[in-house]
Amino acid sequence: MKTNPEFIARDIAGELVLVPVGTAAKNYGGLVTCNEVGAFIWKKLEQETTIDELVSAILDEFEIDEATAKADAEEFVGKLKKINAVI
Amino acid sequence: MDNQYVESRISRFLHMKASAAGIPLSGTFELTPCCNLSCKMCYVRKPRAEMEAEGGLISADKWIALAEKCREKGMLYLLLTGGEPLTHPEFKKIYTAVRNMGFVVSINSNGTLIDDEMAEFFAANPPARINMSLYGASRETYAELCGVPSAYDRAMHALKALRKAGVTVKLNYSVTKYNRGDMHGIINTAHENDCNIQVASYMFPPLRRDGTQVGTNDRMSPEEDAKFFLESESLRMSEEEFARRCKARVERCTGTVDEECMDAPTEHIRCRAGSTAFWVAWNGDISLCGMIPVKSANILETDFDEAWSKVREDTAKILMPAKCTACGDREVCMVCAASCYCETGHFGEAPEYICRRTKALIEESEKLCRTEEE
Repeated sequence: MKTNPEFIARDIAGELVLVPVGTAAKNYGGLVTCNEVGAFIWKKLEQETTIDELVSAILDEFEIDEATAKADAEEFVGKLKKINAVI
Repeated sequence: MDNQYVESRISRFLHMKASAAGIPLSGTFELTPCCNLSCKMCYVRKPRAEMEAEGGLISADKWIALAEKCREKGMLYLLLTGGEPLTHPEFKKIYTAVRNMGFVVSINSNGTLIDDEMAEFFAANPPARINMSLYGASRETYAELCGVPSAYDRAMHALKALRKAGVTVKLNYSVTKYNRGDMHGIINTAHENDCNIQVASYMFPPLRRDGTQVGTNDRMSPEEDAKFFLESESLRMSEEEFARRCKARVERCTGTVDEECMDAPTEHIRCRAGSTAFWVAWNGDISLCGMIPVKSANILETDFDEAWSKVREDTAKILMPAKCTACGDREVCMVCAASCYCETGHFGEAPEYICRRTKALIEESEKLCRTEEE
């Protein structure tokens, strides 16, 4: 899985904001803002990545246990998939 | 339909952060002063020959280059306006480029140039919103106010085509003495097409079009303005919400001033102009607000970074009139730097029209509250 190029990542006032364009904007009219971990995950997803690779990268970067990292990553990626921001 | 002006939490949050950091989060590109209609109260319209004589339109490539600079500085929200922006010969090129840069793009339009093909164009890469001005509910009103009777049919066709194509439309209704009788029809049109509608009964004096018109416009009296504004609220809102707003106005509580750009009132400018927002006119003049004919720089001559700094410097110097900052009605008053300037020719002088309008709004709200109690 990886990010949908029709979601443009913008750094706005220090926040990562995802703006849908084209077909993506037809299906989802809102914006997405990401916290620090979310922004980290988005960056990783710019290259083809698996959930296991994401969890491994999160564990390398943040002080968090594996079960929580996996649950949080799956939840966040699930939300992004739901709006086609990750395909 | 009650919370039509409620801004998203993301937008409020980003504006707050941008204000603290001096980021131009929200920009307006006024692509042209020309329009295919001739509305009597318009603040900007110029005939094509006059526009050409003053240097002509800025090309798509230059608008796109400016947008890239704005993007680097953190702009997220972009409004394309005019005149009628769709009359810019390179509108599609500009729109497509700025949309794909990752801006949240809104468009102000009278809708009359949006045919089925144009509606499909927007549907393929939709803007956040098209703010469509609806000037009347009949050909007769369009003839009287805009000079073009068939514009009514085209505007209605555009509204239906856009909605069918799934494009978000907000209707803007500017109440004037020429179309106030169409209020029910216009608000019904909004309801029938599942659109929000914003009603503006206050018309700024058109100083940008004619610098001699300080404090004047082809408009209603402030008392009529207040009366029709309240009537529009009663039609747009549920009985409960309307009663709540009347009560809030009588009690001088916040939350009844609907201007999207307004934040809490202070002795400085109370809106986002020059704090997180700027306006670039069709000729490249950049200012804090499109209603104020005072430029800070010209983006054809000055780098955007420097121009934005100048806008912020100029804005910081503006203080609201002492009478306004000490006024007990200020929480329910729509006074702003632009209305002070356009009504009096100065930033520091309280605009009598706005004072009278606010007093009339409160008095009418009191009457309505008493009727409610009885």
